[in-house]
Amino acid sequence: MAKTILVVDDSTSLRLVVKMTLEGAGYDVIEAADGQQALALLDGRKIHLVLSDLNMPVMNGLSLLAQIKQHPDYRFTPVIMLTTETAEHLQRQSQQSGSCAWVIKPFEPPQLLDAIARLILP
Amino acid sequence: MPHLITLAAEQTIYQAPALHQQLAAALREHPQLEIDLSQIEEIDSAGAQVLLWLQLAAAQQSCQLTLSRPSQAVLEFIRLLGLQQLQNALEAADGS
Amino acid sequence: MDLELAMQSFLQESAELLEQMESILLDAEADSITAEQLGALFRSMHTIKGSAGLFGLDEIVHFTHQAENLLDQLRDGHLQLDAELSGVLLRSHDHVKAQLAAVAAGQPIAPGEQDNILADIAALLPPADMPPPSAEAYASSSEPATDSEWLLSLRFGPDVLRNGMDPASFVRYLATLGQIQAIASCCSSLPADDSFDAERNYLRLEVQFCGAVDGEQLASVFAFACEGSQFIISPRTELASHLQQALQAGDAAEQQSCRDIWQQWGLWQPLADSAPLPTASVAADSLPTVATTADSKARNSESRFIKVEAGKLDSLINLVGELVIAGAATNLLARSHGNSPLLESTVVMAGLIEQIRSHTLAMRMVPIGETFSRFPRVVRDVGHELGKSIKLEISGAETELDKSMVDKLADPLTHLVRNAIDHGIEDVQQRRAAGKPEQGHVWLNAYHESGSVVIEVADDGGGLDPQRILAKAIQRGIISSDAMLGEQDIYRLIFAAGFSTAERISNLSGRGVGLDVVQKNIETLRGTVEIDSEIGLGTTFRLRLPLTLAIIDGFLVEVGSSTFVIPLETVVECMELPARPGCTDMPERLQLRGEILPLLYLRQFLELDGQAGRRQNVVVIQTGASRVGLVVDALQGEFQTVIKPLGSLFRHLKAISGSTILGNGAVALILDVLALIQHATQQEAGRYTLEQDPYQPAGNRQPHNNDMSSGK
Repeated sequence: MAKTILVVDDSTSLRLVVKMTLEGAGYDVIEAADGQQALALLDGRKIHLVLSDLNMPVMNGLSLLAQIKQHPDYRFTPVIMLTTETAEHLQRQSQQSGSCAWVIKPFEPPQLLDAIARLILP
Repeated sequence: MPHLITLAAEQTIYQAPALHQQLAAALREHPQLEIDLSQIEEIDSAGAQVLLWLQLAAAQQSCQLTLSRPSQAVLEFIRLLGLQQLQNALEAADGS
Repeated sequence: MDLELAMQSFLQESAELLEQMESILLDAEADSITAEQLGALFRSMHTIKGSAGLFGLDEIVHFTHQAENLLDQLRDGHLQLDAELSGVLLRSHDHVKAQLAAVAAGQPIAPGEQDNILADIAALLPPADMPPPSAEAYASSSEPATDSEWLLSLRFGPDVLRNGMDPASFVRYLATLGQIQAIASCCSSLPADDSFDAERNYLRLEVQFCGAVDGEQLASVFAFACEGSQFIISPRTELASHLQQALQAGDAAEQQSCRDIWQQWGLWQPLADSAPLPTASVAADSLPTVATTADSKARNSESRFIKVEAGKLDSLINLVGELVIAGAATNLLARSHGNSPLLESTVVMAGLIEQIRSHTLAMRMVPIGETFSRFPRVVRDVGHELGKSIKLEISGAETELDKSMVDKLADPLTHLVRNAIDHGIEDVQQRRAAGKPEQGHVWLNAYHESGSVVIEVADDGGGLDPQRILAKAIQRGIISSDAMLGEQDIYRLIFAAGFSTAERISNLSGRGVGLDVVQKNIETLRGTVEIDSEIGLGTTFRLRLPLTLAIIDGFLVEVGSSTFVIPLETVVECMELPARPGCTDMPERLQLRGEILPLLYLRQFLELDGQAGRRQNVVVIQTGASRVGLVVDALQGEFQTVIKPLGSLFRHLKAISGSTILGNGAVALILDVLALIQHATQQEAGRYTLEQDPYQPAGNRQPHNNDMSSGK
């Protein structure tokens, strides 16, 4: 049974490439364009990992993270933040909100797979 | 006859607190416990920790504990993390 | 083409983002721009950069990164959107648009105005805030060429589970980078009481790893979990410093539990009793300490032994016996399921069980010297009483055997020694007449031979006279006068109840306790007695005993549906019984490398049902100098066997020495090899006698046997 990853990013093309990459590696992928859409997908289905952009319209990554960490059914789901911000304060902030990992954009597909594999293998 | 508890398919951090409560209650009520591990399809460190805790707590409360019929998932997890403590308990159960 | 589709999507998306960017820049006034508009501006460059990275469009990444930095400053209020900034951003927009157009057209991206724009951006940004794109640092991990070995002590923080990071996940990932050679978890901090928190991590992992990685890569495996955790990672070559760090971490219980793990792996040795830190200073200080310990050890060597009640040892050995069976059962099961990891672990376990077994048995092994040491006194006293001067020579006193046997051997040995002095060694006058030295010699000799212990009691006396023994036996009615007996059988008569060859019954012998008691004692120990004698030169009693009474290494053979165990130490070799086209009768012997090997058909001997298969096997068994080929249906291989004594009902069975439970629960009988060999040699001797020509080689009379050599 393949593991399911929720990919949250406002860029359609990025989601598309990430989805291709992850599916190619053997994961199942569901997508959301922003935090609000992502929360709507937390409907009881099994989600093994959330891959979320930090900067998104409507609900940004940090808010989504906080919501996930309060959700009874998803609060232990590992979250990887995609961020261009190399600024440490944001990493620290997401760390305090319970984020576990971050990948700095831009990244190449193998880097992303490597980061995810540390937390869940396909 | 030991009191038999069959653990459900999923034993991860989501179930661990409830499982801990359930087993703590069972320890108080029964002098002999048998935990059937055959139905477990998914287990993580939190789930395994509850079993490790149960071993310790049972020993402390002189409850006779048997861990039986480990599923493939359980055996694989034990091997993955080198959980010798659980391995020993399973072997003890197997030998009796 | 999926990637093509993604690229189209990227170009379209980027075009929309650029359009949005342009319209915001054109519409907005410096003081009226909203936070949302600022966010959208930032995201336009941010998103293009992120996606461009996935497509490997490095020029676009490089440029948008700078533009993004500028927009970040603007968003955070460090910069104002004035005409100058707006102009730079619009030029940036145009440049990215041109870059994307080139990508869409499949052309190389021209540098165009890029350097100028970048220079302008740089002028607007505070100097410190220009980190270069970090993608390369992330991407190009140096590649170590060869496998290297690593030691890891992973002290995961209490919150890792809550944060969705299972230590198991990291281990799984680690396993993809190389080979986890050993792993053990330490959970000494896990409480047994109600303070246990099911969401808190209590696990610490100790790992030996081998893979083509460098230290940085290994550290990066756990980078996500570093908050609140401590990971000690060292190359195998830095074992000492690794352990020094790893074994100092945590509280005393954790240290102890980890020491146990590393000790089990044979990588950590406790220095003295409880020196916890193998540091240089401690090592230097410990020198005199060690010396003192050794000194005190020498002084009270007795205290190094613990007296243990024999019963405790016996029950331990019984349990080990059961363990051996259980282990063999697990191995059989694993083999039948074809589960190779399980099989591997049963093999490891079998190795450990084997060690436990030999250690446990070794605990019961004592040197025979303990028993031998009483004999100088016995010999001196008996010699004195009989007026004979006797010299006792002992060799092999260090030979070890089972304690319970040593105890039971004392009496028979005493008996044999007395018998040697009393009946074996002649009077001084007789010795003088025979030209022998006046002083008689008795030898006590012990040694190991093919899995048994041999104890010899020898004298240089008059030797056994077969004629006299025969006459005595007939006179005492032990045998009938027309009995036909071989030499060994005649010697054996002295073990018969009520037999005494000495013309004169001395004080010492003839007390109603004859050599028959010796024979019985030895037999209850599953041993045998052989006698070698030469008239005028002396007699040797040779006791052959098993090393232990509890467990043997067995060799499983099959006859029909029954399985039998042959003690492995008696098995010399196995081969297929050579097929003889055209012949249906069974050969009575084989010629094996020039030697005649009598055959014993187990099916016929034990009167088992069923027909022999087309292919039969010969197991060559040996005790002492006698070899016999045992013909069986199939060979099953080695198996550790716990001997269960047969009930009294079956005691009389000649060729069965015990039974055992096989791994699959079936019962197998253990063959008494000695009895089998005796039977086979008697049968062989019988054939020669019947054929009246004992010296003609078998092959000459039975040509079909001639070509049976070395049937491998």
